[in-house]
This record gives sequence, C-alpha cells and structure tokens, in this order.
Amino acid sequence: MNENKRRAIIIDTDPGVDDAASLFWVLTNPQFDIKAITIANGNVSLDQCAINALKILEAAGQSHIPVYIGAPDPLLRPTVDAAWVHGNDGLGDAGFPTPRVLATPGYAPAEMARIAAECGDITILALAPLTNVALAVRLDPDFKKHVKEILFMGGAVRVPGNESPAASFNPAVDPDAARIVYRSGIPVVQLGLDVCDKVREMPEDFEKLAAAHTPVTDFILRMLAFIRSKARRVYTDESGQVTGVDAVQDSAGVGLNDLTATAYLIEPGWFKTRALYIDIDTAGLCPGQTVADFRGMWGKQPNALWAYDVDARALVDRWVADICAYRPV
Amino acid sequence: MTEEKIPVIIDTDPGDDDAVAILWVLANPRFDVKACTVGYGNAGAEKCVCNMLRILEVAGRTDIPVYAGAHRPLLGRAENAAWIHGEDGLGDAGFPLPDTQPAPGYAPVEMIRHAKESKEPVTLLCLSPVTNVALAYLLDPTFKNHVREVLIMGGAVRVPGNASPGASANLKNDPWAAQIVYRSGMRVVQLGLDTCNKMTELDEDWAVLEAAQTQVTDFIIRMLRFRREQAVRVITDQAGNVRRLSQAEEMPDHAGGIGLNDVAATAYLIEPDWFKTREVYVDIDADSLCPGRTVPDMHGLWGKAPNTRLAYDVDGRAAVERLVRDLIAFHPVGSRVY
Repeated sequence: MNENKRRAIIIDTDPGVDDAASLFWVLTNPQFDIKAITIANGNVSLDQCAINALKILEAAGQSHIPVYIGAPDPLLRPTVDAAWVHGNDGLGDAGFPTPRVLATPGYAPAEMARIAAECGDITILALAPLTNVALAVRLDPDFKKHVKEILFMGGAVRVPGNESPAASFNPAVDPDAARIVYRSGIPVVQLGLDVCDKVREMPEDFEKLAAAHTPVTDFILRMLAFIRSKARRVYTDESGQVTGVDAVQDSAGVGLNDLTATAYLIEPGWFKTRALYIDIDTAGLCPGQTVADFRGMWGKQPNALWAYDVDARALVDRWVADICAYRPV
Repeated sequence: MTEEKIPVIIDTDPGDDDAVAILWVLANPRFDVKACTVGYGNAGAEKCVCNMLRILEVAGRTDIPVYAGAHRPLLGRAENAAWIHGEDGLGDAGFPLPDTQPAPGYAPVEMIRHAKESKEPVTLLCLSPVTNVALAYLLDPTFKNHVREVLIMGGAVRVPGNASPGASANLKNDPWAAQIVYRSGMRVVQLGLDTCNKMTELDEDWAVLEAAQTQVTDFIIRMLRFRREQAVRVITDQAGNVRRLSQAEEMPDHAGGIGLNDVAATAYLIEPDWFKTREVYVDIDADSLCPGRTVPDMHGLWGKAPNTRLAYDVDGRAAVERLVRDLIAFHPVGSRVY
C-alpha cells in the first residue's frame, strides 16, 4: 500500500457499541491512515469510553494507533449518557477483559489540532458530541484550514429526534459545541437520523458474522447481544400512562447509527446529499436541533452537506463482508 | 334551524386569503358565525378591521359583529406581509371604505362572551397570530370549557417555514401567544404548511371563478390580481445582492397557481374528511433560532398526552373544487358592490 495514497483521518468517538462496530469497519480498510482516536464524553463516562477504544484496537490487532482522552464534560451543560443503549460499560456489559495498553498522554483537542496541522488535509469522523472538535477550533485559529471535512453522526431534519422530539443525541449533549463547529467554516457532512433511520442490521446479517467466526466477529456479536435484546426506554406521563417506547431494536433488526455515518467515509456514493446552510439551536425546547435553511431565508452560503437518503442494503452488506474478511495480525 | 348550525368564531387578520376563506365559510349556511374577531398580521390592525367590514358587506352579512382586538403580539414585534397581500391587505385593488363600523368591545372579551352564550361549544377558526385567543384564555381560563376546538392556520413540521427556516408566519408573529394556546388544554387542530403546501388554486380554477361574474367572485378576482400577477418577495443575500422572488420561485409547491393558506386551513372546517391527521403532543418554541416553531413529540419522549390533531395530508384538489363551486353558488342578499 502506497503510504501517500492513504487518506488521513482522526476518529472522534465515545464507544459505544455502534462506535465499536464502526471502528472495526474503518480498521479493516487499509486505505485509511488512522492518525488518532480521540475520546469524547457521550455514551458512557469518558474513562470508560477510552478503555473501550483500547479494547477495540487490541481486538483488531492495531494497538499502535494512539488514543487521546478529551474533555470530560460538554462546554456549558451537564453530561448526559446513553447507557440504556450501550450497557453500563458501553460495550454491552459483555465482560471483555481490561486492555493491556494505555491511552497516550495529551489532551485530545490539542492533539487533534497538532495532527491536523501536520497532515494539512485531514478528515474527522465525528461519532460523538462535538466538544473535542469545538475545543480544537477554539485552540487553533488555523485548525479549520487543515481539516478537509467533518463527517458528523448527528442531526434530524425531516425526522423526529431521539434525545428530544427534535434533536438527536450527539448535538443534544453539547449543542454549543455543535454550533461552534457548524459555524467554523469547516465543511460538515451531516449524517444524521434522516439516513440512520433508514438502515437496519438484520438477524441474517448477524448470522453471516457468526458463521465467519473470527476474533473480530465474535467480539462484535458478544458486544451486540445487549442492544439486540434488552436496550429499551419507556416514557410515561404523570399518571403512569405509556406515551412512548424507544427501542433500538425491533423485529426488523437493530439500528447502529454510527455505522451509517461511517459508511460515508467508506463509500460516499451510497448517499444522496444536498448542500444547505444548517445552524444549531442552542436555546428553546430542543437544544441541539439542526435547523436547515432550505429556502435561503438567512442569506447564508451552504456550510453543510445534508445526507437525506442512503442505499442501506449496500452499506450493510459491505460492512458484513469487510468484517468477515478481516484477519487481525 | 339555528340550533343545528355549528357555532364558529373567526379570529382573523384579513388579508386576501383570509377574505376568500371567510367568504367560503359564509357561503355555507350550516355555520353560525357568532363573531369575527380581528387582530394584526397580514396588515396592521386598523386595516384588518376595515377589511373585515368590507368582506361582511360583500357577503351581505353585516349582522355578524366585528370586534377589534390585539394590535400587536404579547412580546416582540410583528412583521406584516404587504409583499403578498398588498399595502392595504386586500391586494391594493382600490376598494372603497366600508359603510359599517366595528361593534364596541375588546375582541378577546367578546370572544369569551360569545363562547359562553353559545348553547354548544364554539369552534375557533384562527387565521392569524393567536394573540386574541391567548388573551381570552389569560383573562378567563374557563373560556376553554366553551371551546370545542381551535383550528389554527399555522405550523410547519416536515416542511420548511415561510417566515423563518423553521416557523410559519402566524406563529412566528406571536410565539408566546401560540405557546399559551397550545398549552391551554384547548384542543388544537394544527392546519399548517404541511397541508397548506398541498392545496393549490390553479389558473384554470380562477378562470372558472372569473366566468361566474357574481358580486362575490368579482370581488375575489379583483382582490387576488395583485398576488397572482405582481407579488414578489424581496430578499437580500449574504453578498448584499437584492433578489426579487416571483411567486413561482417563492412557492415552488404551487406550480401553475397560488396557495391560499387560510383557505387550506378553513377546508378542515368545511370537510374534515379531506385531511389525514394524527393525535400528538405539540409545543411551541418561543425562544430559539426559529421562534414560533411547532415541535411535535412524535415518539412521546416528553411523556405528555396529545393536545393536538396534527394535519399532515389533504386532498387538495377536492377542497379547491368544492371552494370554487361554493363561491360560484353564493348569491348573498344585500351584498354591497365593491
């Protein structure tokens, strides 16, 4: 593999079972030069997310990739987690052993800015609340010149949110950071619920993984047992009446949102997108809502590519094939 | 006979599309219009009152009382929409001043009185910012017990707003009033841009109407000439360039015609079966990038019982055909020729 042709990326992530499924996918693709994994606060606690990233790298046989720990809290608001989806340890409470390697010293936003400056043309795959990326934007005024694009798993335009009626989890956890990033001038590809809701990983996909029976497929299947069977949140009103049930899984499979966002890195041709100006609501009923100006009422140039459709089957088939074919050294 | 009619109070800011909507209601004798309460919005409050009187004179219904109401939002400042309704609100067609006067009384107070005096709970048809309705509820919370439902022309869920990227004009003009009404416990039927964008009055519809040559259709055709032929929205882009958007550019949803939003909302009063709706809890964003945005809780994350019947689809063609038929058949007695 010609080193010059590999695409330099940083993955900012809060693993998270769907982050893990995504990290394995990128790790199986040698055309990507993963410069670092930066850990954001999100699905579970920051330290636990870092431990999980190290476990994933070990399982993939790629512990040489540095893991940097980032900011422990959103810029202005208290932390929110999603342990109900990912299990208390963030990897489905499957009892994976403690990793042998440690995180690399250094603050994730600073390392992100340093690496971006060294590469000059980096892609950031952002699978978590954008706190680290926003801090990098603020640390280094030239950061935006060094970033080719940010692929962001977040947002909900024509579909309801999953953390509040109009906001998706990642921008809802740190709306202020999301606003900084969207207004930074760095091109954002918004890979939110509009496309994620269209993708389902089905029982037959998991059967293929089981049949491959590699260390990586075994890891993934063990990790996903929780989300496939138990992850569930029930909403009730004052009288105890159920108003809504939020389940990541249903009879048609399970939705691994980060995987859909990561698919854009693997093959942008699977997506339909539209260039738009998008801003982030930080106040109001649903902070973190992505507000798209379809009619140009705000008189702003597009700052984002909004993904609104995806070839779901091609994406999942490729994920399964890539994971099954991977043999860690 | 009167006992069987459906009691209605129309809260409005005429507005050329309000005018067509109100004439449509008056063309249907099964509605007992108790009062027309007037706010601000499409034009200033005084012009709206004047237009309301003109409409009732055209319809030969000067027996219906007109009450002047709120002249501005609870908080903030309203923006009019002269670019589409004309400076006078009725397409600057040069209509003479009305002969009649508004009835004495404040619109929100009179709204309460008429609702309480009605044998059956009233339906509120709200074609403007809902300031008057909010004021009525704030004056007397028991008002809501006398309201069957509040039909609101406003909101945008799966479609962009028309006054900001996320909000429609009526609710943007008084987001706090909208929040008060949605949270009041009154049953709201949200008839917003999701359905209004699907109801288009085509050039051939206007040709049919124009050929009828009644006092009512002549008035409507004259009034709508401005919107159909001249209305342009002037916007300034980031580079400072001034752009003039024609109706076709401004309203791509209404190819080959125009969209009269208040008429599309009023269609629900005429025939609810044209609509597909869903019961859901809706709240109003008052303090955000898009004040007045309707936020429906589709997944029940807020743990609230539904407060709104949200209209998301409509048989627009059936509604327009009925509109044209009803207006042509409307031959009011004692109509003033404008």
